[in-house]
Amino acid sequence: MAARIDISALSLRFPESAAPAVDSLTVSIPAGTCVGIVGPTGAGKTTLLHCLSGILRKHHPDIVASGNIRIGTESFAGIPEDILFPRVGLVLQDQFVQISGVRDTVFEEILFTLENMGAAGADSDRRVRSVLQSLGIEHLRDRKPTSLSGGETQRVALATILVAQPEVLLLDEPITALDATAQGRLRSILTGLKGQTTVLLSDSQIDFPLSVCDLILVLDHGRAAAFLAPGELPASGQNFSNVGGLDRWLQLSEDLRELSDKGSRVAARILKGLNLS
Amino acid sequence: MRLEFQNVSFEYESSRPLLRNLSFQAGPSEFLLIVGQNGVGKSTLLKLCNGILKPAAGRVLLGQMNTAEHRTSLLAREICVTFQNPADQIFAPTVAQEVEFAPQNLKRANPAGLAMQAMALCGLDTVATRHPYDLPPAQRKLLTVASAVASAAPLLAFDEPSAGLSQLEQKGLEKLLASLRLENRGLIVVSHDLSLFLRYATKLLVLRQNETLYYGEPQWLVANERVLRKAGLRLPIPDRVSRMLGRQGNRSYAE
Repeated sequence: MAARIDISALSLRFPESAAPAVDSLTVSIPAGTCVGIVGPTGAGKTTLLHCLSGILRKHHPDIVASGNIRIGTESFAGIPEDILFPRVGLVLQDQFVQISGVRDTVFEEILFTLENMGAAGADSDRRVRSVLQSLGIEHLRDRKPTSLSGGETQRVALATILVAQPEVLLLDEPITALDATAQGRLRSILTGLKGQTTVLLSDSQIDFPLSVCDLILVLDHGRAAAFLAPGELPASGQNFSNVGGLDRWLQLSEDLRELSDKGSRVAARILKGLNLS
Repeated sequence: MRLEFQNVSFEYESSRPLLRNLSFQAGPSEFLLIVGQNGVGKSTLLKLCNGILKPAAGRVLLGQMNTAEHRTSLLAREICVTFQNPADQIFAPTVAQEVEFAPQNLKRANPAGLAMQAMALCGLDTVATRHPYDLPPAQRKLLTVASAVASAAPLLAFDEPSAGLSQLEQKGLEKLLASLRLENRGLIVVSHDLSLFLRYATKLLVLRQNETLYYGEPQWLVANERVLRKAGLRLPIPDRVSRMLGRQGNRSYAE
């Protein structure tokens, strides 16, 4: 079951830094939606995802936090103190770190997640096979997890979390090493999760989030510069020049709209297909 | 100095051949973009360029040197390769020391100057005294690029250099590539990011499982959607939109 996420006046500051990493952030994410978090390096994307997963406090016990977070029915004053897995699953930006390396095959590595959760049972093999299939990595099942290429590792890292079927799925830059085919598969998976799982995915470029997300959260210096549906971005009148590729998309959208208004049905169709109308 | 792969084959395990009969060239002032699906051997290919790996069959020539017959330390003077995972190569306690290591180790004249210049080109001069692992992953990626630039090797090979870079850093990377071209340095880039690199590429190598799907002018491939699909590649959306509207050349959204 998907969980709604309410973040209220959340501020986070690392002790060694004068500026906050997240600054007075207030957003409500409806259960089962897919949210894209975009913004320049240092905007707070990774910090926010780590915070929601509970690992931020574990990695930075001295981080200064204020505000509130609510995930489903559970409220946290400040930030979660404990790792919330498997309710909340986080796929790390560095895919190589996600792999435990203690299992000999990809199949066992994914199964390891279920064993850790105490959820290994009669249907474990089926669950692992299903996630291998959905990510298109059945051919890797007997390979050594630490011998894979960057893109293969990124898909196995995803699989180790997807198999847990978390209520909230946090993906930190999940496509950096994926080829177009693998990106397409992830897009299908995320589309299939809509309504069942609340997904937050960060990316330094806009293209992938725009193609799959219901809402786009633009972060800048830890603040929410915008929190809009993709189709609302063109009309927002805001300057998004620091978000990878967004200005180019807005120009494209404007040109297509102009052509569509002049009666071009192709342009109207493209606008709709691109999630921008 | 030219790099030449002559009918190169390579495999990690005999049951799983990876690269087969691969031939291509790269040289000064050229920009070779290497693309292909996950796991086809792109990163392996880069490790064959500087002799970290030796071919099972065929030859890799760096100028007159056969990489199988020369030490990697000698080959490193001519070609510098970055790894996909920065953690595989970063070891120094500060950014400046990390960047200075290559020119120092290769006994280049004025290593500190080369390092300063490379850090400035990669936008890392403001974090020169920081520990590399205190930097965000995107800047760590740029650090590996800066180390290669500082090596003063005439050929540079980057593995996924734009992965995780934001808009601002991508613009910086583009400026860097332009400046390296002005210095006539040869570039070999492995990437999935066609929207960023396709316009700079002078040659394109498309790999598929155990075969070379295409090697030649980038423009030809752009016009051949079928081959693109076969390689699991897609053109950047603005390029596809331009094509659907039949307005190629009217406005380039990729710029």
